Formats: sequence, structure tokens, C-alpha cells
Amino acid sequence: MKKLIENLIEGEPVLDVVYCSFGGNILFHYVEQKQTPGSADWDLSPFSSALTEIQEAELVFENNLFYIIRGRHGFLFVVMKRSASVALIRLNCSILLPELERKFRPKAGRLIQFFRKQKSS
Amino acid sequence: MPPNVLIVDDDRILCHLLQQKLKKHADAFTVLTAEDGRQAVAVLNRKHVSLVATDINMPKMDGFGLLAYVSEHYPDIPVIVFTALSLPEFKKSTIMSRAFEYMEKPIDPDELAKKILVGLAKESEGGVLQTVTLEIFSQLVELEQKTCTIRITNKITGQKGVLFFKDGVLYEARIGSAKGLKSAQKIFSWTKVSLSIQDICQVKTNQIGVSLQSMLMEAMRQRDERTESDYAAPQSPEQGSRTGNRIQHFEADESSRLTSIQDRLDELQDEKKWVKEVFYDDSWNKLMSEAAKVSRLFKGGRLRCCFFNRAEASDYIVLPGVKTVTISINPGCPHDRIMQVLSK
Repeated sequence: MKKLIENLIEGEPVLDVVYCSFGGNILFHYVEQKQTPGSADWDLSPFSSALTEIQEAELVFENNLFYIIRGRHGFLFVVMKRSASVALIRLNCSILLPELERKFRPKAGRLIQFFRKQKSS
Repeated sequence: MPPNVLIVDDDRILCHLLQQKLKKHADAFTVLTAEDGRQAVAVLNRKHVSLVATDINMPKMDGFGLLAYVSEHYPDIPVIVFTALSLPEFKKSTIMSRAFEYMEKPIDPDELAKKILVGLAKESEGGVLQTVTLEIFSQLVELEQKTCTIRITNKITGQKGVLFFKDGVLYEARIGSAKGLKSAQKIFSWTKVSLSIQDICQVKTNQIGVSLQSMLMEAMRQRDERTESDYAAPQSPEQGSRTGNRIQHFEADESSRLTSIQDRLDELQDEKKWVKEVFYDDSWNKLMSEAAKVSRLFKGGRLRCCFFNRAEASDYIVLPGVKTVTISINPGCPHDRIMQVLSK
């Protein structure tokens, strides 16, 4: 995971990497150079719910740029400076997202866990 | 989590008292406080604030500076203004009619709570609560007899204007090299503006000679006339064919915006062939508004341009504004270049 994050930010002015659930809960937050205040009290749920049907988005702001990609369990947001190459970020995100999803996937119910165990044994 | 309400006043005791009294509404909103405009700006940049209630006379950065900042950077945040001076009735009604809240000191905490709850309810209902407008701003300048220079940008056309006030009296107005009464009337007829304020006035003599109130009345008349003529204009068959949320009618200023976007698209070479259609579509507004809120967390500034892939037959480039402009493009096309040209 650390290596993937390093790949994402290497050579690109990435400021924040946030992975949040569809309900807006922040599951992972990487901050570059501590430029952004803590995310503990952020409420991303209205924004996440407004992203219905969106698979991928790029938002160009005055000072920076957001790249957003939908995963199976949530959204990956990358905040970067305007000078960043989105194409490169997009590529790295397609590698990072499955890893984040594996790490932060919602816990399966006991019955599913039982069947998984049975299957593997 | 309840929304944050920021109370700004240099009177620490009043701030503390209001914070204590408003604690009974803790389930509806959380009160944050700041002692002057500068502190308030720091809070606005750090936290998600849903409403601002501010005094006008404060050290460092006063209420006017704060209003200008909010109008420029957070135009969606409603503002309640406290002032020790009493407004004449006709001005009060002008202000109230625009849902801009105004309170005379001493502040009654219960009345303030009521106004805050109304403001927050309108926000959660998705209604439009008018925030700082140029008319209200200049009426407050007149009321407080302030000497200042206000720089105004028309958000629709990008045109810039300047108003010079000396002791609350409008002395001069300028748009480019054009000066005087006509320039002032034109500036006041602009509907969507951003403001910045400077506490000096270089103009020494009154070049306008008309009261602010009559100026505002004239500007309102000009605006009404323009709206009426827009409604009277026949629609082209192409405009009439649009359905659903797509807007069938647009005002003169907005029409010129669409033309300017078309002109910019014409600058493109090969990429132009990927563009399918340019139209107004307000179905993106909710997403635009939420994106603007999230931008505050990352100090992103104003939203300029967006790209959306919905796994449909078209991808979309969306430009926020009074009316949201949507450009449908072929999926997989090199949209970066189109966005670069549009977000200039």
C-alpha cells in the first residue's frame, strides 16, 4: 500500500488522497505536507450521495484539481495542484483502488465467512 | 453533525453570552465565534460554516471586509448583520425583501436563534437564500457612512466596475474608462457580482449627484425592463426543442455566455470534432453546490470546470454559473484539452 501511494505522489503535486465509503465515511486519508487540516470532522456524505451514477470525475478549481473514481465500496478522491498530470494520476489510481478496496472492504456476515472458510478448506 | 454557525463580534462578552444562550439549540447548530473579520476568515477557511452572523464595526478587518470576503469566496453562505445604528423603515424593507437578515443591537438571543434556524432550514430545503448583494452592501456603506472603494466583478460577463464612496455617499463610478452616473446605474443593474473593498476613496468631489436610493430604484427598473424584453423574445426552434431539465429560455447575459463558450470551443483544433452538444442543464446544480462545499475543505477556491463519466453514451463537461452549461462529448475523447480551454 505504501509503495502504491508513493507511486501515486511521485513526481506529481498530489496534496491529499481520500478513500471514502458511499455513505461518506472516510476510510483512508493520506495528506501530503500536512497542508490540509484533519479530516476527523469532515462530512463527505452529501457530496458522496450527489455523485450518484458518476463513475469518474475531474473537478477543476481555482487552486487545485480533484480526480474522483468510483470503486465497488466507495470513492477514491485525489486532490492535486493544477499542474498535475491527470492521465498519470488516473493510471496510478486504477492500481491503488483495488488495493484500498481489499484493505477496507466491508466485513462479510458470519454466514458468508463460514462458507468462505468451508470453501478454502 | 449539526451545522456550524459563526458569530463575529469584537465584544467578547456578547460573543460568550450568545454562545451560552444558543447552547439550547445545540442539536440544530453549533456556535463558533471570532473577534474580528480576520479571525472569521481563518475559521471559514478551516471549518465548514453554514451561516455567518457578524457585527459591522470591528478592529483589524471590519464587517464590510468580511462581507466582501464571504461574497467573493463563499457566496452560498447567508449572512446576518448586526449594527448599532437604526435603518430607516424603507431601507429595512428593501433589505428584508431580499431575505438578507439584519439585526439592530442589542441582540436578542432568541430572535437571533430564530433567524439562524430559518436560514439553516432554507439551506437544508435546498432553497435559495439571498446572501450579500451589491445593493445591500452599498446600503450598509451608506448607513455606516463609510469611506471606501468597492471593486465589483460581474460574474456573468466578467466585466469589472468600481464604486467610490466618501462618508457613505456615492461620489463616482467607473467601468473601464466610462465614468459617472450611467456607469453607476449599469453596475447596480448587474445581478451576480463578487466584491472586494478597500478603505480609501481617491475621488474628492461628488460626480454622481443622485441619492443611492434613487440609483437603486433606476437599476431595478433597468433590470425589470431587461427581464421583460427577454421573456418577450421569441424562442428559436432549436431552443424550443429542449426537454426535461434543460432550460428553454435564457436571459441576454446568459445567452452571451453560451456564445462565449462556443467561441472558446472554436479555438480548438482536432478536439472540436468530439463535442456533440452545448446546452443548459440544471440537473447538475446539486452536485456543483456540494463540490463547492468540499472545495472549502481543501482550499480549492472557486469551481471552474468539471468532467463527468457516467458510463453513458456521452461524457459531460460541466461549467458552473448562474445557469449550468453542459457540453456533451464522445466518451474516451481527450477531454483535458477541452477543459483547459474552457477553464481559462
